[in-house]
Formats: sequence, structure tokens, C-alpha cells
Amino acid sequence: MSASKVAPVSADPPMAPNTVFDSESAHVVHFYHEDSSLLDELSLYVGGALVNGDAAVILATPDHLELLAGRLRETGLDLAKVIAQGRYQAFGASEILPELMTNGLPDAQRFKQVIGDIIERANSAAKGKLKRTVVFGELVALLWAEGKYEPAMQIEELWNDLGKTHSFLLRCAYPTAGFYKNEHTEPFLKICAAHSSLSEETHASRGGDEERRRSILALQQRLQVLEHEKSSYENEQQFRLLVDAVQDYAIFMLDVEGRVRTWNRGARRLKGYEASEILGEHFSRFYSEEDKQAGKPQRELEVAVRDGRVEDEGWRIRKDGSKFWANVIITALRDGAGNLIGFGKVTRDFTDRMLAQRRLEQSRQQLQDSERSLRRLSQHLLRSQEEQRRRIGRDLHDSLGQYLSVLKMKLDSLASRMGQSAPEAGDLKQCADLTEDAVKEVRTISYLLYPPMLEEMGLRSAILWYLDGFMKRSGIQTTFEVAPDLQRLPADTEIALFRVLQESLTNVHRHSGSPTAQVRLWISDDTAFLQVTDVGKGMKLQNAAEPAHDETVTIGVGLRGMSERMSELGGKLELSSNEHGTTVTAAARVRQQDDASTKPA
Amino acid sequence: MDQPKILIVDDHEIVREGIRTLLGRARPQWVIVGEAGDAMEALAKVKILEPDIVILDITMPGVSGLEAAVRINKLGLHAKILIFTMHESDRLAKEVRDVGARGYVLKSQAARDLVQAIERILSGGTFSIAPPEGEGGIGGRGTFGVIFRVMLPPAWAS
Repeated sequence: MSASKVAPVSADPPMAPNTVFDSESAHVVHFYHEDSSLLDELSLYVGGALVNGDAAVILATPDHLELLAGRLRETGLDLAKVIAQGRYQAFGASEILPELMTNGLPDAQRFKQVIGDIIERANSAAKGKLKRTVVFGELVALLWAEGKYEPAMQIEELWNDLGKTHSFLLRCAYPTAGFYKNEHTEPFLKICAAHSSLSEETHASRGGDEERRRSILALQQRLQVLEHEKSSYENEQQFRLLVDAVQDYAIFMLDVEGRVRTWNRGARRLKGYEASEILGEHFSRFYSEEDKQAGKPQRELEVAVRDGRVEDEGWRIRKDGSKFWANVIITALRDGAGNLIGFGKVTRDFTDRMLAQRRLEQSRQQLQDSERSLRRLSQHLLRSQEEQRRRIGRDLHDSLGQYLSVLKMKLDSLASRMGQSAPEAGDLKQCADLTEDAVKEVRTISYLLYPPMLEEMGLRSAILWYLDGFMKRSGIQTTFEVAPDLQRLPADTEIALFRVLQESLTNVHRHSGSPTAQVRLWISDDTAFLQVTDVGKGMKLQNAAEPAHDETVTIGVGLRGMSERMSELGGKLELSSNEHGTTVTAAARVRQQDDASTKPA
Repeated sequence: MDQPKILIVDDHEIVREGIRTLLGRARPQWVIVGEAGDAMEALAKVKILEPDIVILDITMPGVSGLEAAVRINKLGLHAKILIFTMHESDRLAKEVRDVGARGYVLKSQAARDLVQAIERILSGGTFSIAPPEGEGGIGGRGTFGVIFRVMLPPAWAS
């Protein structure tokens, strides 16, 4: 043992503090930030004891030993004297410690022997009215600093054990800087527990409990702060690793001026620059020349400063000059006081997404074009079908019909010249009748294909003629209501309305089972209405614009075509039906037709 | 009028030839002053030839026979018009009257009706196969049996 013993001191300095020792607990722990605060307290603690005639045992680092001695001398204490009296026994903690250990672990026997001896010697030297010894030990702090937490705790226990057989006041000190790891938490709590138990068992005194509780509370707060700092540090480390590992996003920081401050793997992958090439460079180099000249990079920073963040999509340039479609988010970064400290920038490569979007839009456009051309085609088909019917009807009527008419004329003429008594008169009459039938047949077919009277005499006449034929064919009693002064309508409208009539009456005949039908034709304002009503069984209603899948297919398709035609004319087709009958109403806008009645097409 | 002048207007040569033959046989003293294949030619020939009777087809390329009738009448000449058509309808009689023609004959009934119709018109009368007497009356019955009613505009109905 190499304790530095000095000759005892005879005189007590009059200025020595007298308050500390009385209020101290037996086993106090002191967590300190700085040496100065430790020494402030320690000089009071030790100095007070020595002034009162008590003894002091110091097991500390050489630095602390020297500093403490200096402080004590400053208070006017005659240190040489107290050393000579054996009341001040100072030892280097690192020199004492090996004597207390066996195989790197504290040895209870040796501890009790070595430390116990020192304390007994001090006690016997003490001459105050309490004859006490105060101890300051840094053995534990030394072990702690070496990461030997378990041995440190054992030393604390040994101190407590020693307290049961020896009388002394113990003060330990730990630098708070030694507590920052998660694994420190448990021993730290044990330290607190160890010191409180000793004080309660042996030297509890008035005011000491409260002081101790307060200091423990402060220590626990300090612990929380430490834990928080520790987890922040770990989180930050993990976050840094995470950001750096991200490959699909370029995540980096800019300084206030827009220069690149950090660079992650994703940024390298996306933009092609190594960190060493790009750090410190201005981020505008990621923009195209046009964007740069237009001041876009600077503008985006300005918006980010103003709004907190800015999002943009557009072409950006890689190191090799190639372009990619980027989604960019720039966020202004501010410190706790709100000062701008830079920008966070996240860039993603949206080239594929953008191209897919464009393809989608192109497809949509193509679909619309297709629909439009399909509609045009369907209108064209309707018109061309109408035209064909008209042409075939005309050909039948104007060509074949004329030949047959003239044939009939000649046969009649021949018969009248031959006289009824001629032997061929009967055959001739038959020929004339057959020809007459043929004329009528041609006329009927051609009228069904296209009503010629519609052109020559208008919708009203055409409907009257058609109804006559319809009643004969179907046996359905049909009424026709029409204004007497109905003017001619535009040719398109007349033929469209006529086709609605044909289609509707065909449906009445084929599907409704109605014995009667009613046709009405009127004009209200600038719209012509044609309405066909029956009292049949009704039809399964469906959207006229959608094809049907059952028996009503022909109705659906037919009316659908009509519906198309009416809408082409700026009108519409309405269908209402129930078990009591069906009503089809066609409406078509008509323009002023002042001279139409005198102008057959 | 012993020698009435007749103009035949039809876009079919065969029809014009048939009429000429028919009339030539039935009334050799009648003079077929000319033929026309469409309305415009007919108008020109009416002015030059000043026929007493114009036999006029309805359905022709370009201007129809009904329109041609209106225009011929507007010339203020004495030509009287007989419509000669394949169309058969109750409406025809009214349309024929409306354009100022004196009557109409169906082509298939030419042998029976044509000469008679011309003679009646020449003597100042009119000719039609079945004048539609009922048309225009409320609840009336048309020539071809279609029951139709006249629908009065709302203002008149009240």
C-alpha cells in the first residue's frame, strides 16, 4: 500500500466550514459534470471534517488528490499538520485497487482487511467530539470507467458491508459522462439503490433524507436525458444508414445556396455522380439548359422557402447527359429558431410512369377517335342504306314499272282493237291482268323500299298511303291524326320520321298483339313530333342505345338505328311501355320551311 | 277543237312511244307536236310549240312533274296539264289540283282512261279516277280506307 501520509496538523483553521458534515448521509454518491463541481463539494466535505477534528480517507485519482490538497490549503488548513496527526490519509485509487482484487474481481476478504485497516487507523487518529472518519472513494468510478460494471457494483456492496462493522461516512463520485449506453441503466439504478440503503441503515439524519431524495430525483432526470440522447444518437445513426441504403430515391441535402451537401446511393444510381464529384456543386446542374436559363432551379428554392416545400415533375439531366423524367420534392429545412439551414431534396425516376401515362392517354384518344369514326360509319351506313333503298325503289318503279305499264297499255290497246269476240280475247285479257298485277307488285315493293310520294307530296301523303297498305297487310285498325295545314318538313326529317313510323308499326304488328294503333303527327314550336301508340302487351324496356339479347333484338336494333337518326337530326326518340301498351315518340327539330309545300324534292 | 296539239313529257322513251301509238290509233287527227324527257325541256317546248295539252309525268330526274306544272301555268299560256303517273294514292288528286293540273291518269290504266281524260279536259272539264271527297273533314274516310282525323292546333281546339 502506497498511501501518501503526511504529518498531522495541530491547529484548526477558524474559517473552515462547519455545516456540511452534519447534514451528509453516510454513503453519498455524487454524479458530477466537471471536476470543479466535484472539488467544490469535496473540499467542503473533507475540509469540514478535518476542521471538526475528524479524520479523512481519500482514495482518488492523482489529479483529484492534488487538486483537493490545493483546495484544502486554500481554505487555510495546515494539511501537513493533519497528515502528521494521521487524520488525512490519501491514496491513489489505481494503486489501492489491485490490492483489493483477486483474478480481476473484488475480494471481500482483502477489501475488508486493507480498507478496514485504513479506516480503523483513521478512526483512532480522529479527535473531534464525534470521532468520525469521512471517506472519499473513486475506486468504483475507476472500475466503471474501464467498463467493469459488475466489479464496480461489488465494490459498492463491499463498502456497504464494511459500513456495518466500521464507522465512517462514505462519499463516492462518478463523472456523468460515463453514463451514456443502454447497458449503463441497470448498474446506474443499482448505484442509486446501494447508496440509499446504506444511509438508511446506519447514518440517517434529519434533512439528509430529503437531500438524498432530491439528488436521486435529479439523477433520475439526468438518466432520462441520457437515455433520450442515447436513443436520438442511435436513431440518427440508423436513419443515416437507411437514407444511405435507399436506392430507388435520390435523397440528399442542399445548403442554403443550393449546393449539394449530402449524397446517397440512390442519388448516385439515379444521377450518375459519385459523392466526391458532386458534393459542393450547385444542384442546377441536374436541370436542362433551358430550365437553367429560365431560372427554374432558383425559383423552386424560392417557392420551397416561401411554402415550405415544392413539388415538380420534368426532365432532368444525368451525368452522362441522358434525360429522365423526374418527380422532385424540395423541402426547406429550418432549425429550432426557424432559420433556414438548407433544403432536403428527394428525386424519383418517373420516366416509366410518365411514358405509361402517355401511352394510356394515347390509347384513350385512339378509343375516342375509334368511337367517333364508328359513329360516323354508322351514320354513313344508315344514309347509304337509305340511298340504296331509294335507288332500288326508283329503279323498280321508274324502269321495270314503266316497261310493265307500257306493256299493259299495249295489251289493252290490242285487246280493244281485236274485239271481245276474237278467239284470243280471253288470253289477251289474262295477259293484261297479269301485267296489271305485276305493275302493282313492283309499285308495292318499290314503295316499301322507298316511299316516292314522300319526295313528291310529303310526309302526310306518304303516311296515309303507308297506313293503307299496313292495314291491309296486318288487319290492325290504325288512326292518323294530323294538322290539316302541315307544311313540308326538311327531306332528312321526313324520311327519318317515316322510317320511325315504319319501324314502330312493324313492331306493333310483329310483337305487340295490339288490334289497333294510333299515329299522330304534329309540330310544336320548331319541333316535329311523330307518335305511334298501341294497346298491346308492351315490350321489355331497354336502353335504346344498347343491344338486346332476347326476342326484342329486332326492336332494339331497329329503334336504336332510329334513335341514332333522330339524334343526328338534333332530335330524339323516346320509348315508353307497360302491360297496357307501348308509345314511341320521335322528335326532330325543323327549321323554317316557308316554301317547302310548293317545292317537292 | 278538231286538231288539238299535244306535248308528251316523260323521261322514258318507251312510255312516250306508247302514248304516241295509243293516241295515234285512237285519235289520228290529234297532233303530237313534240316530246320532252324532263321538266326543263318541257318548259322550253311549251313556249315554242304552244300545245293545248301537256301530258306530264311526275317522277322525272331533276324538277318533278308537279313543279313543272306550276311553272307551265305561270307562263300564262293556254296549255292544259294532264298528269300521267304510276303513283296511285288518294293524295294525288289533291296534289294535282294544287299545282293547277286538270286531272291525272294512271299509266297502267292509260288504254282505258287517257283518251277520255284528254277529251274531257279539252272540253273544259277535269278528270280524276277517284276524287277524295272525304278528305279534310273531321273523322272523314279517305279514299283508301284509312281513318284519319284532323288534328287541330291547341289554340283552335280550345
